[in-house]
Amino acid sequence: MSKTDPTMPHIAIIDDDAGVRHSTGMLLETRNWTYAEFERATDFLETAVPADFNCLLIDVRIPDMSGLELFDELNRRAKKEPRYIPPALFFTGHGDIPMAVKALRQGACDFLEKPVNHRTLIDALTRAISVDNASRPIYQSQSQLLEVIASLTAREREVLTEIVSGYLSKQIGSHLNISTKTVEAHRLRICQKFNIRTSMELAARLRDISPEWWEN
Amino acid sequence: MQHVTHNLSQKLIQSRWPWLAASLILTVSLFVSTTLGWLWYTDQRDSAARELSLDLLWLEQNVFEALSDNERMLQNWAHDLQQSGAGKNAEFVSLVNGLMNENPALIAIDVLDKNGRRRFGLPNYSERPKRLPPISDPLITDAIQRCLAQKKPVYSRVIEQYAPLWVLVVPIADDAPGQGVVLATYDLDQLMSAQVPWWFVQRYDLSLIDRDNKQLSPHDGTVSEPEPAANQSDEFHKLNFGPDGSGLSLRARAHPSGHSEKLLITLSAAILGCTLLIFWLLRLLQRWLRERLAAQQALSHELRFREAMEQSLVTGLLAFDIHGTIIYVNPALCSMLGFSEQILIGCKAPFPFWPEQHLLDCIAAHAAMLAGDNPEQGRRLYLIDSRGTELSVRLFASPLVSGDSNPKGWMVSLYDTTELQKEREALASSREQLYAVLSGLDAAVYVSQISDGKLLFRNRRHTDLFNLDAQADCCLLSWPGLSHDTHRGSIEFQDRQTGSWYHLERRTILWVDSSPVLLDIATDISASRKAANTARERDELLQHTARLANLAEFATGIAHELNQPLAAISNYSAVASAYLDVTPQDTEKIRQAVALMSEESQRAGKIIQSMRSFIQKRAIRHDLHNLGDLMKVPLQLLAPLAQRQNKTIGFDVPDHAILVECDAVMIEQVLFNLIRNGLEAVATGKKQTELVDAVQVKMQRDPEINSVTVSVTDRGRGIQDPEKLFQPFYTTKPEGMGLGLAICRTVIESHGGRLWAEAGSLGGACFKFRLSCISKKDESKNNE
Repeated sequence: MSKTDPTMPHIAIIDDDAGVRHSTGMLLETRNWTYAEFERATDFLETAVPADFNCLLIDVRIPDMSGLELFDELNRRAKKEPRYIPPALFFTGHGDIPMAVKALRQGACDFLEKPVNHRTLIDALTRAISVDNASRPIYQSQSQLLEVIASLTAREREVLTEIVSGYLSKQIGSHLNISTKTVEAHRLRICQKFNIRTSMELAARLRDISPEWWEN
Repeated sequence: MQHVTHNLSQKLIQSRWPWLAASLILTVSLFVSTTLGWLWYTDQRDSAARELSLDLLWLEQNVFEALSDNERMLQNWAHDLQQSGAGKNAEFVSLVNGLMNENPALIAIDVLDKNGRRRFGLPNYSERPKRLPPISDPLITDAIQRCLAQKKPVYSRVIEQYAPLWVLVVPIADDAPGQGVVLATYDLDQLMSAQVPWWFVQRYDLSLIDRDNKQLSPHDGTVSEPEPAANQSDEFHKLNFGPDGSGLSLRARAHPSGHSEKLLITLSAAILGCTLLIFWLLRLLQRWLRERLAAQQALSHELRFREAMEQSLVTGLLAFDIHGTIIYVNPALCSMLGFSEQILIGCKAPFPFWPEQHLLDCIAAHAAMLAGDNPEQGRRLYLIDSRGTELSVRLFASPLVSGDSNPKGWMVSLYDTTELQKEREALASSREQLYAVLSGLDAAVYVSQISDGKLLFRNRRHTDLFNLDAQADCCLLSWPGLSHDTHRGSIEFQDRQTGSWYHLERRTILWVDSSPVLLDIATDISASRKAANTARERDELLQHTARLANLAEFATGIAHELNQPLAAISNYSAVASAYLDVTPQDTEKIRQAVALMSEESQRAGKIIQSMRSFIQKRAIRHDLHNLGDLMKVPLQLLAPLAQRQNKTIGFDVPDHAILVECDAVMIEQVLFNLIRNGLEAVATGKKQTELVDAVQVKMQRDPEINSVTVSVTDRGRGIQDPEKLFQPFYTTKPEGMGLGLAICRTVIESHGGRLWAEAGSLGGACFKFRLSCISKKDESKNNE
């Protein structure tokens, strides 16, 4: 089901059993939530953009790849290129403690045992959606910063690294073998691009960005 | 150094060349001396020949001079006869007489007339004596004619008339041949003897020979044969004698030197003989020297051998004189006792090798030896060596006898038996150890004779474990399951009295007298059997757990499969109830949800059905089998369990085949489960009394309804809860799953049969199942 109302939560249902998928979808419809069905893990990986969904509902026992492996893969890809991963809820027909611990350690939001009470399911989904609502803006601001960083020239990026490390213009000049004046010029241009005034503010904004993203 | 020269001379004697050199030198010296002797001899002979020729020449001249004197005188006197007259004749006779007296060789002087007739002469005779040759002798006539012709004195040829005679014809008148002649007759023998001086005769053998080498004088009456000239040419000297043409010659020969030549030959022969003798002696000497050398070498070898023998002798030898003083010790004794030879020889009792603590024994032994009391087996004594170590020795003494039977002393030999003693002790202790080990052994050891099973040895353990009769040494100990004629093998058996299990190993070994005997070693294996049983039980428990885990996995799979439709149903019901709560009711949605619910529940039913068909897939193969044959596999599988519990399974199967159309594996499983249940029931129940099977299996055919009934009856405690018996997961066993009987029933029912339980005739439970079997008609049809 395509996304019609952007204000309503959009859920991805990944389950090999058509009955389960359809019944869950109907249940979500009673709340006017939207959803998308995926039979296999590979379908999801190939066609969907994780950030489009507010929550992922994954069955642990699915063909090709277990639900946990799918979640693993998504996290791995997000590390390679910055992407937003919404909270994930896991279903299993026969849950056990080690599997639950593993899933939660990998960042799963919750763990539900089949057959699940519909009320428990809705509660868990609501909780997940609220987590999504909280974390999505932070991610978005970070991605903006990253876009700006991507627009910097190579030299500017070097200067920026030095600034974030807390060096003065003179030190930066001697490190990069350029004059202090040039450093000052770079610094001014960087501030313009980030639309901020001082270097202190710049360092504060860049603090939350993980080092891997820098590299990319 | 001495040794080297000794060796050198030995080599010289042994080698050949000194002997050759000696022979050579001898030969050369002999040759030189012979040559020198020969030279001296020839020189001597030459000088003698020279002297002979000189002497002969002198003699000839002497004789010829005398003859010439006579001739001249006769010529003068004959000349005087020209004046014939008696006085003249008488004067002539007297002159001639005187001449004849001076010359005895002149035996006759005749005066002949011109006719050759004797006128007168000396000696006076009437008839001419026989010793004188007749005047008419042709030789004389010839001489007269020659004389008259030459008108000078002429000698006739030699006339042999008793003695060789020589006639000188002297003409009376030179110019008047008719005056006649004077004949002077010489006896040559006489001439020779008269004219030759004594020394000549002494030195030489002189003879007068004529032209034909005929010896004329001395005339020995017989005409000697002329000796071969070649033989004599170099031994005598010859000189012409007399006037030319007389043909006479003088021959002189040194007095026969025959004996000296013989001497020479004898001497040579003697020298040669001596030489040969010397050679022979040399060879003899050489041989003798060689033999002597060989003997010497053999002797020295023998001496060295004796010395080595004495050195290497391990027996100590000791000689006492008649008074008990040591007069000889051998090196072995010295090394045994540690005293030097100098110390020991000349020692008298008490000896330094007598230990203080055994002094009395030693004194007694010494006294006994001197008294002549020497036992054949010797005496055992304790001695000490120079370091104070005690030695155990065996002493043998014997009298030292030389020539006469009186003993000159005592010869004693000592054997060091210390090591032997130690070995004997070690042997005894090792024997004790062996007995101790055998006694302490956990295994029971038993040795018996092969022929009659007579007990030869058994250890303490065997005595403790197995009771034999009082006449134990003559009875057979038979083991269950191993007859006495088995010579090798091993069995396990249970002793009925104690209940212990034993492993018996039998083999044939060689006993101390080298005869083969049976060695039985029985080891108590009750503990290890128990341990093995425990291990097997643990193993089974593990397998059981694994089966449970598999079942759990299976159940998980089923649960997951069922969970899916159940979850969907749950969701749809939530959806339906949600739509029911909303006004206005969306009946379409509700109906859809309800329809989907029924769809999902049907799906759940299908899942269960497919699962059943999956399980039942195995049971589809139905073939014809003999039910009796199907018993074999379960019995084989259960035999170890029965043996472990010491139980037996009896089964009663008809001889003829009972053919059943079935899945062999499944029926085998059913039989296995039922028999196993029976065995387990007996194991937990009463103890089995002997000779009765714990579980009995029977097959009975009911020909009327073409069916067969199989019953498995046990002696357990019976069925406690008959209603629940066939319910799945109902079990009375601690580790049971409660599926066995349920499965059995399912299998039998899938074969169109029936399985039920009833109280058994043996006090326990009885499980029976009935299967339809092929009738004989069907069988024959099938065969067609």
